[in-house]
Order: sequence, then structure tokens, then C-alpha cells
Amino acid sequence: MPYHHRGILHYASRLGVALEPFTQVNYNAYVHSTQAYGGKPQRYRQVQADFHGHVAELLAKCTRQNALDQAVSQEDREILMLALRNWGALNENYEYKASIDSSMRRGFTADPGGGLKSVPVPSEPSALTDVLQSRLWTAIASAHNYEMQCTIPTPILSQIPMNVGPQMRAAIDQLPYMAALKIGLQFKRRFWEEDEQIYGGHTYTDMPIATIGYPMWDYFSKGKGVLLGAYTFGRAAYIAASKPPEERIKDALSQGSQIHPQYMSEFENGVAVAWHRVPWTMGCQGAWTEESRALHYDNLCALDGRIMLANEHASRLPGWQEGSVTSALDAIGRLHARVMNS
Amino acid sequence: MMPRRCFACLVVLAALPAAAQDIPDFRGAPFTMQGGEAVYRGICQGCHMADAKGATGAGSYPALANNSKLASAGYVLTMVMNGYKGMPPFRGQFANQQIADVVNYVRTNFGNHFKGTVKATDVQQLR
Repeated sequence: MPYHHRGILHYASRLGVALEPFTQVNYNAYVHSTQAYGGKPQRYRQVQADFHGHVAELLAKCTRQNALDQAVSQEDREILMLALRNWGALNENYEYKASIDSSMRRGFTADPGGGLKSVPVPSEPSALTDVLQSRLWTAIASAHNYEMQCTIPTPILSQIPMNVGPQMRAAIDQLPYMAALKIGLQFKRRFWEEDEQIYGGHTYTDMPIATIGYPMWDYFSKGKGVLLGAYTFGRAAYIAASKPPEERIKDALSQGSQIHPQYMSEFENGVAVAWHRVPWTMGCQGAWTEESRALHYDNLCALDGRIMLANEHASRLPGWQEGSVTSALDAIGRLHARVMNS
Repeated sequence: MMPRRCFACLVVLAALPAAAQDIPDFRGAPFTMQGGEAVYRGICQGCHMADAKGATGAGSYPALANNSKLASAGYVLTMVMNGYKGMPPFRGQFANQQIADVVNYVRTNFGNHFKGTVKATDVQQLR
């Protein structure tokens, strides 16, 4: 729940709903592409450091070759060079290379320690072309997004006889809900913590499972652990939803084991839920497009006779409770104004 | 029930905001299945069920089996292309031949024996 969803946070506070931390980004979790780095998962930290480092080096080159003279004043250029060196972990020659500084960002081959084997060994950054070709920067960017209710979902509402005008009718009938699918997997132990030092957060992959989410509580606890083994939308969700739950879990295990080889030996049990098969929603959230919003959004939200809709689908935050709350407040505000003015 | 559903949407929304949803990476492979049966098994049965008898909860997924509405090929074709009510539009997800094949498949299986074949060129005319 993002901190700027003030409507729902206000309710949580007023009603005394306990909130738990939600770790969106974990630098030690993975980003993964089947097409890059030989299909081996990369630590988020390394890909981000290499992407920033190389970009900083290029920008420093441009600045030193006076390519930015028009856009940046002489005084700001000096500050920019300092900032680039700091941001990209560049060396004194403004290069992104294996060093203590760059390893403080991307991690060491051997960490500094105590005693006789204490000397740190810096790690070797990936080449710029590998970072770019990997396209893993999409996962880095998406983890930095700002955005990370319901009366009746439109797929259900559209099947209930109701007395509304043609414009609201058309708006309801054109809004299907998105496909989405989640899989929970139970393992004998928390190998992601014990073997890979991943405490909460998410791994992103280009495989259909899309996301692996690690529990953000009870770190170090012994015994069984449950993680989010897949969170898919769109085409991948349609394909997965058309399979029986056992097969969805099998798919999630075979894909996930490319990131965590422990999957197969540690797996105990799983559950797979497709929103399209949840009888009371028939989907995850209103599937608006730019075109359908332009045509129908205002009609969906407008008062029609004695009916006004408030829901996540009557908001620009589909799928979020905040969309429901702000949509309800807006609807009540309009009703109030109407009554007071009549 | 709703808060749980909406909360559950949280992670991927965070990862994939509206603007990023068209980026092909991290969105799963395109629908590559060929032939009417493969398309039906791969996608459609997720809602209409393996036996095409549909499902009913708070709302319904209509049965395609023994459904007289399927007598009109154009009706089925328009449904698949444009969607209606809970049915999402699939015009952007499939090639012409895939759409033609699955329309023909449901009109000649599951107890349906309707005449007339939809061709890829018919689909193209609706684009």
C-alpha cells in the first residue's frame, strides 16, 4: 500500500487495522531473463550498479567533451561531474571499473571480513553491452514505480438486470476484468534466506511466472516457508488460468527452479488461484484502455437516475483499495452537493 | 473479500503500472497456439470450461455447448473480437487465422453442428 494512498491509510488508521511492512525492492533478490546472462538470475544490486555506473561514465565523457556546454553552466558542470562519480561509483578517471568503490554498490567477489582472510576482492562489472542487451533495466525501473472498491465488479454487474440509461449500460457492458493469477508455494525450509540471503522483496523474471515474492516476516524462522511463486497478468494469466491448478503449480515449479534450484527438492505443497475463476469477481480489476476511458469513464461515474457507481473500476487506480475509497468519497460528495442544492 | 482481492493486486501493479503494460518483457509469451482446438484449450476453457458448459457463480460464463446462439458465425466472431460484458476483447491478442479457427471449432464441437466456415479474410474485414 503506497504511502500516498491517503484515503485507505486513513481508514486503516481510524479502524485500527494493523499494517505490516511490505518490501517492494530487495537489492539482494534477483532480476532474471531467459535471454540474458545465460539464463542465470542476477542480483538486483549488480544489474542496477552496472546500469548506473556505465550511464554515469558515458555522461561524464559527454560532459568532459563539452557536449553539454549549452545545457549545463560551467559551475553546474563541476558539480555534475562530482555527482556522476558519486552516483555511478566511478573511479578518479570517471571510469566504471572493478574497485572497492564500485563493489560497495554491486557487491564483492569476497567480502571484507576479520582476521587473516579479511582482504576484500572487488567484483568485475558486466560490460555495458551486456547490461543493455539483457533488458533487465526494465525490471530495475519497474521496481521504482510510484504506484506500486468494490460495490459489484462490472462482469457481474453487467449480468444483473438494472434500470439504467443507455450510456451507463454501455459503459458497464464494455468493461471486462483483467486476468490475473497467483500461486503460493510451500517449501520445507526458507532456502531463499538460508542459502541466498534474500529477506523479503521480489525477484523479477521474463518467464510467465513474472514475479517471486518472499515473505516479509519471521526471518530466520525454521521449518516450512511459503512464497509467492507466480503473479501473472495478461496473456500469461490467460494461459495459466486455462490449465488445472495442479498443472499451474507444476509450471511455476519448473520455471522457478531456473532461479532457485532448491525448488524441486524442497517443495511440499501449493495453491493456484485465477481471478477469472473467482465466482464473485470474474477477474482482477477493471481492464480499461485509453480509448475505452475516453468513451465511457465519465458515463460510468455519472449519476444515472437513482444509481451511482463507486468502485476501483470507477477510478484511475484500478485494482487498488485507494481507487475504491476515493471513488466512494467523490460519489458521496456529488450526492451531498446535489441534495444540498435541491 | 474485496480488500483481500485488491490488496493482492498490489504487487504487480507496483511492478507494472498502466504505462508499462505494453512492454513485452515480463508479460508472458504471445499466444502462439495454432488451430481451433489448441486455442480453445489454451485460452477459452479458462472461463468456458473444458466441456464448454460454462460456469455460474455470482455471474455466469455462458455455455458454448449446445448453444443456439452459435448458429450465427458473425455473432461468435464479433464476441471474440470485441468482447461483451465479462468477455474481454481478443482482437489484439490473436491473428486472423487463430480467431477464424477457434470460431469454427466451437461452432462444430460440444454438441454444435452449425454450417458455414469463417475464414481469415472474414476476420480481417472486422479490423
